[in-house]
This record gives sequence, C-alpha cells and structure tokens, in this order.
Amino acid sequence: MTSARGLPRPAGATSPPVAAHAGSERDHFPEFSELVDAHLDFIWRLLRRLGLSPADADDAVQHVFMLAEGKRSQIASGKERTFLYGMALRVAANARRLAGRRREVSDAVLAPVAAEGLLPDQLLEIERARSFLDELVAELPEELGRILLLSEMEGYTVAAIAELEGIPAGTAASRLRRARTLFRELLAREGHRNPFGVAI
Amino acid sequence: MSDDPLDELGRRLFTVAHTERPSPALRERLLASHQALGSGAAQKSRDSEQAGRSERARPSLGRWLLLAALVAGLALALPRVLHRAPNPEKPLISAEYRKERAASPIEHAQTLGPSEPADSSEAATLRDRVPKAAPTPPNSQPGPSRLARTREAPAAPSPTRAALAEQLEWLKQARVALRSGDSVRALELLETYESKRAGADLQDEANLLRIEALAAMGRQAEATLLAERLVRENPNSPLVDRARSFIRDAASESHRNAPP
Repeated sequence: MTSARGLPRPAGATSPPVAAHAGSERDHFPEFSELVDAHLDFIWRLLRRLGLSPADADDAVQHVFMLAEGKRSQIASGKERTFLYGMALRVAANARRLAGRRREVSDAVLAPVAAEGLLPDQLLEIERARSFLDELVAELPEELGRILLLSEMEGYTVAAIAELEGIPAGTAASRLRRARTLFRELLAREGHRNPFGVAI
Repeated sequence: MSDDPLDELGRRLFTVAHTERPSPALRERLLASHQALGSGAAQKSRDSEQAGRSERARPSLGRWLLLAALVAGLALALPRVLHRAPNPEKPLISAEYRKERAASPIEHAQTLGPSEPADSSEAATLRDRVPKAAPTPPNSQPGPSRLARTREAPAAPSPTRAALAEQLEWLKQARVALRSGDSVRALELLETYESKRAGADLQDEANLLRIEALAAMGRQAEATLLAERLVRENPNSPLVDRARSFIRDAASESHRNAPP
C-alpha cells in the first residue's frame, strides 16, 4: 500500500505512516505524541537492525526524538520521517562507536515478544532468526544493508527509499538490486544455519 | 534480476525482524521525558517554530539566544568598564584595598574572587544592575566556585523548568561519561547530582545510571542491590524493565562465572 506521498504502509505495521499526517497541506509540526506514535516502531526497529542492543536502542530512540523536538523548526512539513531516519543513522553510528560495536542479544528476548504469549522455544527461534539476519546484513556494505532493510523489512518502495536516503530513484533501484544479489549469495552460503530448524 | 523477490527463507527472516517492537514502556518514557522538558526547551522550540514558519525572514531561536547573550554580556561589562575607566581623581585601586590585600592577600583573594570589584558597595550596586543569569548547567568540570555561583544566582523566571533542565544536563553528562567508558567520572557526577538534588524528579534515571556505572566498574553486587531496590521501590516506573533486565543479566553472568 502506498500513501499519497509515495511512502508505503508496511505490512502489519501498527503505527500510522507519516502520510497520515503529511498527506494534506498541513502547516504545523505534529504533536510530540503523534510523532512518537507514527514513527517509534520504525525508528526503534531500524536502530536494532543497525546493531544496537534493545537498551541502547531505547536510549538512542529517546535521543533521536528529543533532537527532532528540539529542531522542529528546521524540519520541513511532511519530512519528519526523513529527518528522524537521518538522525537515527547518525545516533546509531555514534552509539556503535561508543559501545565498541558490542552486540548484546542476551536481553533481546524480553517483554515485547514475551508479551505475545509465545513459547520459549518459539522465542528462541525468533531471536536466532533476528541474530542470523543481523549477521547477514552486517556483511553487506552499510548503504546496501540499509536499503535492503527499508525494502524487505519495512516494505518501502524504491521512491520512498530514495526520499529517505536522499538519493535519486535510479541509484536507489540499482543499490537495491545489488543488495538483493549479495544477500542471496550470503543466504546460499549460510543457508545451512537456517534458524527455523527445518529446510524451507 | 533487480526485482526478483528473495526466497522463502530471506522473506521469513525480514518478516520476523519486522515483528520486533519496542517495549510499551519506551513510549511512556519518551512522553515523560518530553513532558519534563515540555514547558522548557521544547516549548521554546515550539514558539520558535511558529514564529519561524509565519515569518521565514525572522531570525531563528539560536540567533535570538545569541543576541540575548550579547546584550547580557554588554550589560555585564559596561558598568565595570565605566567604573574602571581611568579617573585622575579616583585611583583604580583604592588605598584601603591596597592595605587590606597587603595584610592578608590569600584571604582577600578568596573573599573577592578574581573579577570582583574592590569596593564592596560598588559590587553590590553592580550586582543590582547586572541582568540575572539563569542557573548554569554543568557543561564542563563543575568546580566548586561555579557551583557556588549557581547556588547564589537568584531564581530564574521558572525555577521548576530551570531545575529540570539542570538535572537533565547533569544526567546527560553522566551518561556521556558512562558511554565513553569513564565510569568513575559518571559515578562522581551522579554523586554530585544526588548531593545537590536530594529528592530530585529524575532520581530513578540517576539510579539507573548509577547501576550501569557500578556494573561497568565491576561492582556487580552493589549494582544488583541497587537495581533490586529500584524495582522494589518503584514497581510502576517505566525504568523498571531495564532494572529487571539488568538483574537478569547479572544473575546469568554470575551463573556463567560460577565454578562447576
């Protein structure tokens, strides 16, 4: 599903996409709670996949949203998600540098998933799958990994990815093509570590 | 091909990744943080946004702040310059001042400080004429003289906002120190914060940082005790989840390190 502004609505996303606010000609910045409701999941998920532990992702999200609130006068109407995305990339880079690129997965199986009432072995499988994906994405060049996440995890179109990344649509398309090719090669190489237990 | 979809395993990996969500407590934490700042910096920013959007040509908030700082600096400096201007009838250093300094130079220096005018009545006059400064956040090393001046400063227009902003700044400095690996410095900042701000609004945040700092210094037992106390005394705090996860991690760590 694609919004009026070209940003897609990710399948299964609970939070309203940016276009819910931005599609019309509004001339005011959304309230902070609206901003959080619209973008919290996306930004947090992105930070997680960019290598931050859940606790670090929490801190980084807080930093990102506070920065956005402080710079609200500099954010063009309807560009909140793009701004938050750029900030998240910077904050993630800083957080990774400070943490010495440490990866903490021990507390990843915590309340958010546990609350869904899954069995322990299911939680373990999910956590393994996420760790496996993180390893694969980390092997890609950073800009390709980001684009692949935006496309495959968030369901963004090439146009929306180009807008978020601030690159021409053709460049986004070619990067996505390259990212998929590399990811397929990685999967073929590491497929024996299938975290879902059985061959798919 | 570029548009070839990933195979089933690849798609499933990304689907699972998409199901990951932040804790609901994070949203509350964000809103609480915003509320704490809401009447302060965020409100200023919102006002600036409205002004900026209505009249693009008008200077931004930063420019206004810079201008205000310049005006305050001028107001601060001008009376001193005027009072210190060469005056043949009135020497720059009075005879009483010379006598007093000669008698007890150290005590005199401590009493006045480096930039204090010699004449105490002049100083009082100047203080009355100088615009009141807001409490200074601990951007650099919080030396005792700076803290003393902060305490002496009269109340800002909104003491609650200023105090909250100051508390946030203390915690931010402690967090920065902690993230940069300087746990000792982080702990020092937190102790100073707690000694200055007994019963502070952000005490839970401070406690959480203290837990992390203690753990980073290898003082696991103290950190665990503090985390348990935080959970016990603040079961409804949005920070409890992090304290709990810390306790869990510490327990699993000790199991791993335990002799067989």
